[in-house]
Amino acid sequence: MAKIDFSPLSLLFSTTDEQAMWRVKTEDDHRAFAQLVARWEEPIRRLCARMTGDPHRGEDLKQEAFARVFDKRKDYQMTGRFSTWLWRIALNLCHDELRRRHRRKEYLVDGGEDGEGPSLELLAVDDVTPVSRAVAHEEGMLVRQALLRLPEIYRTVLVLRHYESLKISKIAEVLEIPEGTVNSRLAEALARLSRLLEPKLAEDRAPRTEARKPIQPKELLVI
Amino acid sequence: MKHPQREEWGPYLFGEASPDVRTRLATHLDQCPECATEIAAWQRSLGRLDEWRLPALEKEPRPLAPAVRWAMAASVVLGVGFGLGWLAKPPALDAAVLQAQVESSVQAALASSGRPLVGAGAEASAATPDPTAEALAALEARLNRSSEIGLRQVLQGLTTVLQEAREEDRQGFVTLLDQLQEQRTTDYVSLRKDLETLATLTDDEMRQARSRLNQLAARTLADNDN
Repeated sequence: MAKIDFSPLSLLFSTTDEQAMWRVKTEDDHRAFAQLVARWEEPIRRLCARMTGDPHRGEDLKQEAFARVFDKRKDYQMTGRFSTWLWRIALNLCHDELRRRHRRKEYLVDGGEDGEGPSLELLAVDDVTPVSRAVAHEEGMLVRQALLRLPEIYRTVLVLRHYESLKISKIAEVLEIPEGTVNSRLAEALARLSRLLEPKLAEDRAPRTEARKPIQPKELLVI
Repeated sequence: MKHPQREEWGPYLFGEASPDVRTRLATHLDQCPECATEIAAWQRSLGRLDEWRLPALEKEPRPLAPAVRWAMAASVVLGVGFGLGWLAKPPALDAAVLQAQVESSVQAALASSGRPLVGAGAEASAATPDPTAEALAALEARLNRSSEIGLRQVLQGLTTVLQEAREEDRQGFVTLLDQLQEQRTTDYVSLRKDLETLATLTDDEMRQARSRLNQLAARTLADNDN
């Protein structure tokens, strides 16, 4: 889904992301930077929109992500993949955005799915902005709400794997966690999503799912 | 029945499980209705994720490439030039229109004089000269003359332009020759000065050398005497 479609010929003659970023870092090459933006703006916009549930905010966060890439160009290390670095920057911005929303109490904050206290991750579910009201009638609203009800760590792996088609190993690299942790988060994300999207199933299987204490990872990415 | 580890289902559902793990999990699903129900629900949920569609990115129109912009500018300039040239050109003599006008006027004149233009016998027209044919011949001659005059004027204009261009070239050539001559003279003068200076310096050096030789010879003689 998120794969950039380059023809082999253009790939042969075009610079890699890492080469372009190196030029940005060493020479402040604006043309190379524009090349990177053109390649990555759509995946990053999608990621931010999925994580925040707001396409407009996703667009803003995309701009912020590339602005941060340019600001931090001197910190870029050639040893790592540019895409990994970029995903991390964008995810951190999404995390900051969700935390700001939580602080402003713009969104519904009540007990979590598992009865825990006010949760950072319960966001944008009953948001009352005009935009969200207009979007509320769109197809897939239920899915959007269910996804936004997921804790951020579960939503992240699901968005990266399903919508952006990142391999599990790549997700582990981006989030700097073991692959096993990604797998367990994926399983938990799917279980929670199914309970949200199929309430009847959730009722039938409530005893079993309650018996399983979900893992609550605490690590957050900080760049 | 022993159920597989929960985290094994993620790679299985996303097609990243190894072949043996995949086989083992598929076999378990066949034998375990409980897991089959749950994993089927997960698969349905995954399928439903695509129902949430994002609006497409609103791309700004790409600025035109510089070459295209230059081509557009050039075409505009050329278009304006052609337009002005078209407006400023003298009215062309359209032979066909003129001939049609004359023919119609001649026919009208003939009709008013009562002589039929069509239906006259071939013998009669061969025997007596046809005024229409004469008028047409005269008209053709006029047209030829006018086209000749036009052509002559064009040739004259062209000759004038060529002569002017030749004159300009000649004047430019003469100016260039003058400049070259001046440069040559200047170079000659400076070279001569340099040579004179060198000769003077060489002369001085030779005198000094001669005097030193004389002094050396005198000292040598004096030493021999002693």
